Amino acid sequence: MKKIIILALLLCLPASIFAETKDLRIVTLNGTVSEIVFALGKGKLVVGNDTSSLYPPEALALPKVGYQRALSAEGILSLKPSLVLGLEYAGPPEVIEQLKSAGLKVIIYPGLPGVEPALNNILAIGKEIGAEKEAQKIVQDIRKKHSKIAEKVSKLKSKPKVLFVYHRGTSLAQVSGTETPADEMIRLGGGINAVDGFKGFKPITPEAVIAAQPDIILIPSRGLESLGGKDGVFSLPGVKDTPAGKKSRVVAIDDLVLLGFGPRLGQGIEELFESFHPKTSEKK
Amino acid sequence: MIVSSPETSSPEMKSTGEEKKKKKGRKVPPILVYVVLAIGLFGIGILSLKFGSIQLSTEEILKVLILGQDSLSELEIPHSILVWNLRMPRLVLSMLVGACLASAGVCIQGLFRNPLVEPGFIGVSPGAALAASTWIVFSEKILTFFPAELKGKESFLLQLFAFGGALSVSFFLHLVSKREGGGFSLVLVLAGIAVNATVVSLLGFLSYLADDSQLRNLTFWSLGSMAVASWHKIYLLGSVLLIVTLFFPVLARGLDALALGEAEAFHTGFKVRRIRNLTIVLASLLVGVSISICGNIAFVGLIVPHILRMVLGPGHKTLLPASLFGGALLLSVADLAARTVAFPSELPIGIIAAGIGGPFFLFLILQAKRREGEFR
Repeated sequence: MKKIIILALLLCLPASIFAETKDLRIVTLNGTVSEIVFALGKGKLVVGNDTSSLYPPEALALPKVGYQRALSAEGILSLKPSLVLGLEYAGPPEVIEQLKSAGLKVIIYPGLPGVEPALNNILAIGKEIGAEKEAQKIVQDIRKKHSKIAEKVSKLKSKPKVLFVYHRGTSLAQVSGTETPADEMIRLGGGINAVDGFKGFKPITPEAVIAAQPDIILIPSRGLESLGGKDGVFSLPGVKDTPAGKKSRVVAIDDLVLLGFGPRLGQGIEELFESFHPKTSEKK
Repeated sequence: MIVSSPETSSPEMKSTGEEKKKKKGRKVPPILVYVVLAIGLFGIGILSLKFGSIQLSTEEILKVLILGQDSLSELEIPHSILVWNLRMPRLVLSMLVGACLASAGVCIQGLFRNPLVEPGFIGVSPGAALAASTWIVFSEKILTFFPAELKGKESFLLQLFAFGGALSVSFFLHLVSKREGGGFSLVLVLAGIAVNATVVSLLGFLSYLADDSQLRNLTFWSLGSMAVASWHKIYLLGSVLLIVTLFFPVLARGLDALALGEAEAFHTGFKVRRIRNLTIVLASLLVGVSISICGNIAFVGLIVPHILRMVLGPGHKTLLPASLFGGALLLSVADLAARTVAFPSELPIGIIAAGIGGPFFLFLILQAKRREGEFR
């Protein structure tokens, strides 16, 4: 009996600690933001998130308020949040306005791809939810990994040409041009984007793929799954006839690690560098 | 404005017309239909204000509406905000859009003398959506010297473009079907399908040019949503609808006359061309502005007039106003479903409208096939 009472008291402890941080109820509207809040150790405060919040598994299990660009004001309100955090993609804008008019605290962070904007977001969110120390720690870790890889990248004699392929379900596969998170990550990992003729994403065409002559095909893990593995990638138009197709070089990395610019950014840069330059990383 | 003959044609006169598509107009007293629609609208209004993140009691709603105050002062989210900022705008906007689309449906069916056409699938709505999308993509790409408030989604020019798109398509279809000499026009339906296919391909081309955020706007047009409701949009669409209703008496007389056939209408003293042009402009205005505000919603303009025609008969004097209320009822029901079925997420209202409308349309075609002469 004593044990049970002690156990019950212990269980009450964390609750009382949270009560001091005035019991935030957070709704996150973006996968990266969700990941940041969990990485800062405040995952217990999250009461709901959007369909792009896939990591960590605890985030996946929370109530979903819909896709981040097609949110519903009432859906978010029903979770009685005291704080709503999102990136600039959150919308439609009218819904964000409605939430604010209902007296909710809604904070929208910029969604620019890049190391600095990503670190700024982590620090800002840390400050907002009372986890500044944790935010500092994560930021330092990312900076360390980033500068280590940046040094290695600066010593490279040659960089592989990388073609980023985006594919979801039955939709047309698309390739990434410039000014996308993928483009930025390829650069950070010591590669060259094989496509530089346009901004954003365009549907894949065989000629464009062959003309780009990529050495490596880079694809988010879920995209690889929806294509049915490596063979699916090589069955995309034109891919087989590129250096990447001949050498069978496909690099698949978890979507949020690769494109999220969140807490696992450092890990993503490292993974990319290692898969782009297997020999250099072996030399360590 | 428009000169009409002293002898306005009454619906009963029509049954001697050449194409008697709807000879058996089952007649229910119009006043009864209006009463039923009014009760329905009131009921759905209460339900819409009731359901959502927090369920309000009817008493609470009335308190907010009449006294403008909350039943409890210690609320996390005041009921007045819930009612006035979130639910009321959606309710009113969906009613307005439904009213616009159903009235436009009546106009277009009357204009082409074909009860099976609808702004959505003869290409008028897609035309509006295409023009609106074109504006969104190009205003930001090319007209960089424009002040920001005139560019993109928030500009009133968007509505203007959408109206232009709807107008061009309606006018084109009118020119195509005119050569047919009236009656049921297969050419019109085929031309509508061709316009639709063209629009889809052009939209595809646009999405190729658009950047990421514009692309989201484009996909929005194809599904429709009432989540964008705001009082500003309501005033805009409300004024448009109000202006058009002022023409209802003229439209009703004109469309009844057109139903007799062009020559007959002319001989009874109507300026046929003028009526046609007026109908095209007003219907395009309704469709264009609605679509530019909340995206492409199909089938409302088909279902509502059709059901009401069965009940009221084909006379436009009652059909036009009844369709206005009927459209409001149908779309506010659809929006309530859109925002509650998959709660806390939301379904696009266009999917719900098409889900009801598609099967209904098939049913109509099969019925028409059974009746002789409809498809000859």
